[in-house]
Amino acid sequence: MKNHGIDIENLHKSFQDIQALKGVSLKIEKTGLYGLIGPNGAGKTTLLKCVSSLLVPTFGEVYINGDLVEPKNFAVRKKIGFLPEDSGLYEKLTAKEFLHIMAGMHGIPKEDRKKKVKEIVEFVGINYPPSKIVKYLSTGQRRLLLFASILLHDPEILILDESLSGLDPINREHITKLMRKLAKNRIVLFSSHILADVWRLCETIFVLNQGELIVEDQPENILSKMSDDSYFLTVKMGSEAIKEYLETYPKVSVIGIQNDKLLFKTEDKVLISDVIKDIMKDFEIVSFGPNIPDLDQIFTRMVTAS
Amino acid sequence: MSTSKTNPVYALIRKEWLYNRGRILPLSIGLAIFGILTVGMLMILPDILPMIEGFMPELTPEMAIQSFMSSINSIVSIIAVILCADAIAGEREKNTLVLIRTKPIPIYSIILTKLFARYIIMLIGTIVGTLLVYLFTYLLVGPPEIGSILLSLAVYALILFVYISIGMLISTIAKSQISAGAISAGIVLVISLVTSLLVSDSIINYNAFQLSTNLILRDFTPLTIALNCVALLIIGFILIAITIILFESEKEPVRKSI
Repeated sequence: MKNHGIDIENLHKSFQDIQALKGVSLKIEKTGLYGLIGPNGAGKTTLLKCVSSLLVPTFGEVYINGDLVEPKNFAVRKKIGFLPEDSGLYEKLTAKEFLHIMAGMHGIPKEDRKKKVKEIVEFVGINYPPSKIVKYLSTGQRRLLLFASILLHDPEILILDESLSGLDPINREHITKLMRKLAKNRIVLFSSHILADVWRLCETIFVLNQGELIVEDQPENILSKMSDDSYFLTVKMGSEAIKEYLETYPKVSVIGIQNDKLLFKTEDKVLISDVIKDIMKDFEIVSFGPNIPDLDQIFTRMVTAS
Repeated sequence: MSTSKTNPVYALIRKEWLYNRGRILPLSIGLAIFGILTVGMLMILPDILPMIEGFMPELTPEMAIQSFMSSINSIVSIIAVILCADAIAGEREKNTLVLIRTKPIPIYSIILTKLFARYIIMLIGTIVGTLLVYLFTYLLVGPPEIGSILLSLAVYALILFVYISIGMLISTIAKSQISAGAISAGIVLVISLVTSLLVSDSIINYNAFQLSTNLILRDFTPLTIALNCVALLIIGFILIAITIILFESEKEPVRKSI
C-alpha cells in the first residue's frame, strides 16, 4: 500500500559551501493546512523546492504519496501543485491563453481544457476579463492567476511558498479562504512570513532555523509551551503605584512594566484570585489577564532557544 | 471528461509560437529592405563613384543575390542568436522557467521546442526576405538562376541550425539574457569574419559556414556539398546534446544570480 502524504527523510542540501538544509525530517499524512515558518535564510524555500522536485537534495529523500521525488519522476509532478514565491508570468499572453497553456503543459486534453479552465476560474474567483493581457494585471490578480494555474491538474498536494506575502488584506483573506477549502481534501503545505496567518490557519507548524527543523507542533501546544504563567495588570492610578503595592505582597514577584502594563507572577496559580481581590480594595483595575506572548515574541523565543 | 492525456510539449510549442510569431513580419520586411538596399547599392555605386567603375564587374543577377546571401549569412545569424538569448537565460531572468520545470516535460523537449520555434521563425523570415529580394533583382537586374538560390537557401538553413544551436547553448549557460545575446553575437561575428577570409581554392571546399554564399558563383561537386551539410548537421547535434546535458545537470535550475 502506498504511503499517503509527504515524507521527508534526513534531507540535506548544500550550495557550494553553504548548508541550506541540515538533515530535515518530517512527515505529513493527514489532509489539512501545514505551515512552515522560519527567519530569512532558514531554508524554507529550499525545502519546498526539494519537495517540488525543482532542487535535487545533496543527501536524503523526499516521498510524495510513496513516490520518490526526483527531477525525472514526472508522476510526482502530476501530484504536486507548486506555487513559487516570486514566479514570473508570461506577460505577453492573455490570462485565458496563460491558463490554457498551463493546462496543456499538465497534459490536460484540448477538449477538456476549456471546461477545466472555466471551473478553476470560478473556483478561484478570477473576476477580471480573461482576455486581459497578463502584463496589465495587478499583484493580487497575478497571484490569483498563478494560484489557478497550479490547480488545473487537480493536484493531491499543494506547496505554496509565501503565497500570502505582498497581498492586500482583501486578497490575503480571499486566498486564505481558498487554501482552507482546498485543505479539506488535500495536504496544503505553505510557508509564510506572516505569523498570524500561519497561526490561525495551520493544524501543525514547522519551524525551520539555519537549515534545521527546530519545532514541529500544533499552534496551541507551542503557545502553552512558550507562555510563562505570568499575568499583566493595568490600573487607573498608574503602573508605578501598583508595582510598589505588589512588591510588598507575599508570594508575588514583579517582573516589570511593559507598555504601562505591570507583569507579575504568583508562586501558586490558585493565589491569583486572592491577589486580585486585594488589589480591587485599593485600586481600580482597567485590564487584567494572563500574559500571553505575541507571535513575534514566540517566534523569537523559539529561534533563540534553538 | 476524457481520460486521454495530450503531450505537454504541444502546449510548450504553442506558448513559443504565441510568444515569437510577432517577430516573423518585422524580420521578413527588415531583411527584404536590407536586401533591396544591397542590390540597389550595387546598381548605383558605379554612378555615384565613377572611379570604381573600372574595378567593378558588370552587375549580374547572381552577383546581386550572392551579395545578399553573404550579408544574411552574418546578419540573420546574429539576429538568430540574439533571439535565442531569451530562450533559457531570458526565462530564468524573468523567473518563468519554474512554470515549465514544475510540469511533466522532459529537459530535451524544452530545449528542442525552444530551438525549433526560433529556427522556424528565422527560416520563414529568411525565405520571405529572400523571395522579395529575388523579385526585386528579377525586375531591375534580370532573372537570377533559381536552382542555385534554392540550394544556397537549403545550405543556409543548415548553417542557421548550427548558429541557433550555439545561441541555445550560450543561453543555457549564461547568467543573463543580455550576456547570452552579447556572447553569442560575438561568437557568430568571429565565425563569419574568419570563414569569410578563407577563400583559397584549397580551403573553400571545406568552408561549410560560407558554402551558402559561395554556391551562387562557384560550382561545387554534389559530394562536397553533401559532406559540408553532414558536417553542419553533426556540429549542430553535438551542440544540442551539450546544451541538454548542461541544462539537465544544473544544480539550481530555476534561478541563477544575475
